[in-house]
Amino acid sequence: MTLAPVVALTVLVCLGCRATSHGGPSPGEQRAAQERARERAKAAGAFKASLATGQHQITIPELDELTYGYADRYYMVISSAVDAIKRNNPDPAQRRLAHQIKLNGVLSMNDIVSGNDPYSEVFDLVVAVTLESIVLIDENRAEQAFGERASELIKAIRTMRVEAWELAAKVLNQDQLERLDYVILDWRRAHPEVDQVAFVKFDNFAGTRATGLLIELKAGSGFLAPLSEASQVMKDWGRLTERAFWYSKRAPNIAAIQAEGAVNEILSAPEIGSALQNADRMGKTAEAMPQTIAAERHAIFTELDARQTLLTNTLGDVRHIMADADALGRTVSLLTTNVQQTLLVLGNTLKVADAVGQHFGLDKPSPNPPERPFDIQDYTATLTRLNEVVTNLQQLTLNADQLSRSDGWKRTMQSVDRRVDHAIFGLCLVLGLAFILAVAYRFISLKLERRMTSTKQEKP
Amino acid sequence: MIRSAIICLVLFALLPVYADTNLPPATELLLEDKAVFTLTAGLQQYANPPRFAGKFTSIGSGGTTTLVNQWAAEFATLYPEVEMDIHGGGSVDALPALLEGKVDLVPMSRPLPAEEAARFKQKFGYEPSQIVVAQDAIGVYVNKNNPLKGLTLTQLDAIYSRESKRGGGRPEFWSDLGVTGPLAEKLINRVSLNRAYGSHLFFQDYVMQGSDYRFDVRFEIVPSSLVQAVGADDAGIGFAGVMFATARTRFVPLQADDGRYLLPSYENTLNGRYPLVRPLRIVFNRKPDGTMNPAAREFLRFAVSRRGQRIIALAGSYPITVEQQQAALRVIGDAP
Repeated sequence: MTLAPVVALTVLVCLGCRATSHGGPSPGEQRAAQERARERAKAAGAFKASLATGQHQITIPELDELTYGYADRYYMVISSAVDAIKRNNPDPAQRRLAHQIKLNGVLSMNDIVSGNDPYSEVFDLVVAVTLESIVLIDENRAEQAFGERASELIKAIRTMRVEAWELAAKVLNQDQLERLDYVILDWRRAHPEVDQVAFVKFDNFAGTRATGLLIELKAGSGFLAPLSEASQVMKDWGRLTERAFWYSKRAPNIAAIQAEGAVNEILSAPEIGSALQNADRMGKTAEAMPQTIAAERHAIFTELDARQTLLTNTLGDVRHIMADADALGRTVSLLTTNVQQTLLVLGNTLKVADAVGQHFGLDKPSPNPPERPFDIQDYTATLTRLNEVVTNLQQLTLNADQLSRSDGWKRTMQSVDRRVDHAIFGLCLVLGLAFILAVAYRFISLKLERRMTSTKQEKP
Repeated sequence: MIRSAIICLVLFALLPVYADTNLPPATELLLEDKAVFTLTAGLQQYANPPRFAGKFTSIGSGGTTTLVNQWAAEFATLYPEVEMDIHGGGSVDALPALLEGKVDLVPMSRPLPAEEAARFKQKFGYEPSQIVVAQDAIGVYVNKNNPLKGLTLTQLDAIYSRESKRGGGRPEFWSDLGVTGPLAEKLINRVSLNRAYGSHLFFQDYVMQGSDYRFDVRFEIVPSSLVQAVGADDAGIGFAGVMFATARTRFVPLQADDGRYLLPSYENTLNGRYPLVRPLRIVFNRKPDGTMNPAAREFLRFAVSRRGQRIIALAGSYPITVEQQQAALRVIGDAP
């Protein structure tokens, strides 16, 4: 029982050594690989020689070599054409579509060539490439999608179609080629809506006359060398290993194309497209920011200048208004003073008139004449006062005239017009009253003079 | 007055030339579905027997075998028990096989050569039977961007033939054919079908008057590839049946006997004015008493029926007329 773990450990170590020994080929495997390489070179040389003589039946290894070579060349030719379309192309939709054509084509070719049935591979290869050429060239979709940039892709697709049919012509006879061509055209006419034709396989034609064609070819007709079933099975394993090796070497390229395709797919999504547009717009905005700022600053300063001018004008107007208002105020003040003086003078005049009336006993109902004798100085003083009133009135008129000429006066005149009119009216009344009083005073004085004269004549 | 009248007449005669060189895409000449149904409406409908079994073999011209395959697909649904062995590859090897009794039907895209008919008669004592199963015209294809307005048969011969028996010289560049612009200084890239196609031999016999093809003519193995070669190359030129028209190609008007330049339209094909018209035929062995392979007879009756003609017309070929159908049915005859 105690030996069991030791035995198990020994077995594991041995297995590990065996496993690690796969890190490099064993001498036997190296010899086998060299033998296969020699066989392949020999077959290729014989194939070329037979092509030169025109008498040849192609073998499966030869067919494998041709299909491998075709797939590699397809990758190279189509990639170059697609890269030419994508180079400096500002249209993301075109770049995405071009990449999709490359991705689908290369994936399809690798899928076909790494299959296990060399007969079907040739059919699938011809079908895929021919349908692709029909869609992109005959239906003019390449030019519709890429415009003038399509020329390289059209040449590339055309080249690969010619090579595919040359490859098929090594396996199929003229009648089989014609039928294959017809079957493909017939399928396309029946399925014009299919766009992704790179993945259409010959088996998709099942139920048509293509089935009989495939059966006929598998039976060994055409230019394919007939093989016994036993040798076929023996070689299938070797081919499978070889295909796995071939495919694994090209896997990184396919992964890279797929990754690029995925990126393109993501970038072409509507949401990402919208975000990119926003970013692009923001970038453009940022780029245009200095110009925008400069323009806006210029606009602002221009506006400020305009407003400054307007403000200056306004301030000037205000200053004028203030000056006018000041002048108006002074005028009003002067007017008020004058009015006060006038009223004072008028009060004095009335006092004089009262005094005159008292002097002549006019304010008394008594018929007795006043005791104070007539004095000419009283008249002189009254006239002097009246003269002052008239002078003040003239001054008032002058001031009013100045006031009426000022702008401020015009704007404020309406508000004070009524009061001024009222004052003027009152003043006129005063003047009229003064005039009446003066006339009455003259009349009374004449009456008194006559009475005094008659009294002197009665007292001789 | 007379001079003015002559000028008017000349202008009137030239009018169709310029009308025809309006450069439409090749696909515009194909019949639309509605036209197909109108043109075939007068044809006699196929009356199929309830059950039928048998076998027949067809070997012949690649182009005409394309039509045979189209009929066979539909015929197989009507008669699943009928075994059909259909091959293209050219009628050159098929006529000897017909003499040996190994082949029942020989589709041909050219008239049966007199020596072949004589050999048949020598062996069987009666003429071989042949019927017209479709109208066809060989269209001369150029790229859709090619401004070439038209060609004479002499120019066409000069483009392809090694000897130029019609005396058209040796055009090498497109400017030699009157083309101006960017294409003028480009070499003419000549494309043809290989010998398996009747059009190869028809063109060689009729247009080139038996001369050989130039060494720089590139031969395609299938017609669709030929038309695509022209569509992918601005400087390419080729000829093939009208049914292979694509959006990147257009037909070159050819000068007819009356001097007008005509396109290979259905009308110009039917009235025979287009220079390269060729009725597609099927040659077969029918004894004077009406005996022949029953399966082959039924297949031919189906091919010239309204149903059979609509199948090929919808695929791009030109159908036969009522008169041609009646003539074909008379040749086929009823079972004795």
